[in-house]
Amino acid sequence: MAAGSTYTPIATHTISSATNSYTFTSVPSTYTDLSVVIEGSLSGNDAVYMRFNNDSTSNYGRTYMYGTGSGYSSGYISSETGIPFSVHTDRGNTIIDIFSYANAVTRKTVLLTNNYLSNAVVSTVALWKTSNSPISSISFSSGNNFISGTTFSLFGIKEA
Amino acid sequence: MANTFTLIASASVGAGGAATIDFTSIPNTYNNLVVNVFARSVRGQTQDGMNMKLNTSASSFSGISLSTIGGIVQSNSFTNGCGSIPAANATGGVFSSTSIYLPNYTSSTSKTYSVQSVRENISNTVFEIDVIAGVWSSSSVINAISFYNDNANFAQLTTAYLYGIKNS
Repeated sequence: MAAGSTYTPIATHTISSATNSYTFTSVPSTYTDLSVVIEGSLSGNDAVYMRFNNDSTSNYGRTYMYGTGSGYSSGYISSETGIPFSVHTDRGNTIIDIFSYANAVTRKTVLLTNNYLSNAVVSTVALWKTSNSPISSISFSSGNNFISGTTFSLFGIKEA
Repeated sequence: MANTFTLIASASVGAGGAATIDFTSIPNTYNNLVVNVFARSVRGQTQDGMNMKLNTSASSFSGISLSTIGGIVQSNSFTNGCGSIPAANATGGVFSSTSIYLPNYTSSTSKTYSVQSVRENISNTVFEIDVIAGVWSSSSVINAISFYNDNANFAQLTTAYLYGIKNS
């Protein structure tokens, strides 16, 4: 028996004119996990903040480690207003896994890998720590603009 | 609803080993590619380095890594490496696991990729984890991916799977 579809594309968007934000809205609750893949660059080196359900209060925390090619470090941030990752003017990618996003009983965990040669390779574990709400929207915003051609892709993964 | 994460091709090394693992004539009908490699080398040491070529080229690669080897953390700059794999003197039957994600492989811009690789060696606790950010500075559509080692052939039972992902 052939397996059902999985890693199903939910939405994709390619930036056609400079903008400093993008949001996946109306994320369906019918999957188990989500995966977001972002490939492209910003007009200036900057942080991009990921937020869930328009929550921009200090409800996020993360542990991270990174290597620059000549040095490395790690850290922990207990409280911040989103989940940040760096995007630079050279092309790179960010791969984000969000687990059990649709339930209403647990906090939402995130694994994030961020890859920009001019910055670092970064691995992050993050938590949307004060809400049990199902995730229905995922937003990305920065102080600089995403360059035309930057892509945002959202995939849904079913456990069965 | 579109199927995605579709198996495009697989490769398996038979008795006698193989110098390379090759995927050719990759269709340009997907948006992203994922290659999962399960590998071991015949080199007479505990490990070997695995490398990637795109479109038969080992040129125009840049990469940075964050690694732990036996508990020692380091970060390095290099070209087309994809982490280390166990070799003949490592614990028998142990192969590395490497996953390479190539988003937007058909774009006309430089190709970025992400590598996650683990190598275990049960007998002496020398293990390795690599997280790699890489760029292939070519505007060409990726139509071939191959792997080769620094020092010796891939061992029998080395396997690799190439998947295509559509984002719509």
